[in-house]
Amino acid sequence: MIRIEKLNYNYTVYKHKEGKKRLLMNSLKRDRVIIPALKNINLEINEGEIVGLIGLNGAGKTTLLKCISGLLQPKEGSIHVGEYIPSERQKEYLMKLSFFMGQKNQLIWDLPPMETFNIHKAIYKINDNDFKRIIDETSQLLHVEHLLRTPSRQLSLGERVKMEFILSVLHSPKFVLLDEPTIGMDIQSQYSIRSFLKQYLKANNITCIITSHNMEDIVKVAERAVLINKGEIVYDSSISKLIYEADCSEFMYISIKAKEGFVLPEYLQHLTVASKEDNRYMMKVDKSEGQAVIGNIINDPDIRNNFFIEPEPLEEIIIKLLENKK
Amino acid sequence: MMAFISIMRSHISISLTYKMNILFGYISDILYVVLKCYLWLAIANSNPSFAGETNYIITYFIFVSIIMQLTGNRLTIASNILDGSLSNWLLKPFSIFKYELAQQLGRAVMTASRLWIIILAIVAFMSSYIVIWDYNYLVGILFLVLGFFVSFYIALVIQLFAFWLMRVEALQFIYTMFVDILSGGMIPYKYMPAAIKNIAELLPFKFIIQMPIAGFTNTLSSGEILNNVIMAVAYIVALHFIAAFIFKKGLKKYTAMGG
Repeated sequence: MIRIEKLNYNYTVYKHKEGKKRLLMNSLKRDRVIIPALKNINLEINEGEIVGLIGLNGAGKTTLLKCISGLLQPKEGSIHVGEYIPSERQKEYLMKLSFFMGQKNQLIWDLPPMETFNIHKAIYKINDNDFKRIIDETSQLLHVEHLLRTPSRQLSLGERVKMEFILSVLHSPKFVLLDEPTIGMDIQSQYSIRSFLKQYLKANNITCIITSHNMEDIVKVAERAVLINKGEIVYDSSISKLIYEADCSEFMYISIKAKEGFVLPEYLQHLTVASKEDNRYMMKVDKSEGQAVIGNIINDPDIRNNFFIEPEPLEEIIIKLLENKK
Repeated sequence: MMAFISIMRSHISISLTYKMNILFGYISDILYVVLKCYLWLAIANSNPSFAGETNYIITYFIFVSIIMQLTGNRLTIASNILDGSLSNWLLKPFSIFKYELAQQLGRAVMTASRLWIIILAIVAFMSSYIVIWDYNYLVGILFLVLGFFVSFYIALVIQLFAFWLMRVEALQFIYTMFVDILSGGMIPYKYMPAAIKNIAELLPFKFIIQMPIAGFTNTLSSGEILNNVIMAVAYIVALHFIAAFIFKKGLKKYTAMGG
């Protein structure tokens, strides 16, 4: 269980002034600005629960994960992860923790990933059988088994991220923090990672917090969504409720696959075109006139076999939720 | 212990990865020793006050060149603090000090393995200048090991100031100057002005070069050996606690930059 109470964390930033005359002055005197990164965070996560942490850039998601991992030592508030206080950096806690940072490189640049895995094995005292089994399973799942002995510097970004991912589960952690786990990956690997995570986290009763700008990661893996905006938690509910909010939104989207020479019919011209890619139109429709619009489409022989209805995208719901809380 | 050895081994593997780099490493080792000796030879021959001392000076600086490479270090903790990659190690149940030590020991093992080429070069170019002392390898190696740890911990303490200063290059440069002058790396202790020598005798820098040379060349009495071993161990223990204290304080300042 993770319990966070009244957590505050501030960053100190030194601002440089502009202008040629400031060149020297900037090194002598800079403006010191205190930026509140986390404001009165209260959060409880049960054992085995998977929470998706959602927010815009600079919202405080990674800062919160860093506090939970013990990397940052907040002066106000308290964090308990199981029986541990992260800032004390107890060895037993670190043995059970994994913090995957999609943008940080842990692999030894000049050597193959297997060398880094071997160091990891020695540090976490992983037995030979488990080590082999986990590497075999995860490398096959991510289609990188043939790259384990290729120097890390010769791997693509996506391949390196996959290796980092293997590294992060190698010691069978109980608390997993995932910051952008699918960054740089192709769609097949994203799909594999999500499928793996969903099964692996549940099967091993792992408590997990996942942050991602890719909503699919959150929706497919997490069971609870926590929205954070400017350091504050503004929404905390189940993923199914978040999806329900999307389904119950006042708008729906009608997607039309147009034929060659297609001209938008008159009865659709007053609608907002949310997107247009090649021959695919996405129309935003107020649900109050949905029945009329769909009726017209069904009676239109050019379109009736080439349309489908979608709920409002989750991203838009999240942006609305964030804006409503401003 | 397995983790420590794994890290050491990986550092050795990195050193062996690039063949041309290994080759140029050998060339730089030879050039460093030979050029330094010829430079001192020129100074000694042109200065009447060094009359009769030429061979001593050449032999001394051969020792300096070899010992400096063994007791020197290239720690990375300051750059890791600056770019936030320290986080990778803070999240592991393994001491960052041990990690740095394992890397430096790996480097020292690699340096030691290259010594044969330096010795061959010395025999080829400088053999007529070498003074044959009654070498005491045991005491020499003992002070070499102590010197390695003293040098490691001083560098570690300096690098840890990166928690506050972010960049420690200037501080590192000051440290290098002190080591050059006070360790005996630039001037042998016997030519130092008495006032400076007396101060240098009390500081830890002498363990980096002067004491290993004195140990190998068997110029220390049993009492001096014992006193200096106690002094070196005391410095290592004190520096370890200072580094641990700074690290603990520094972690409170650490912001794990970079995503």
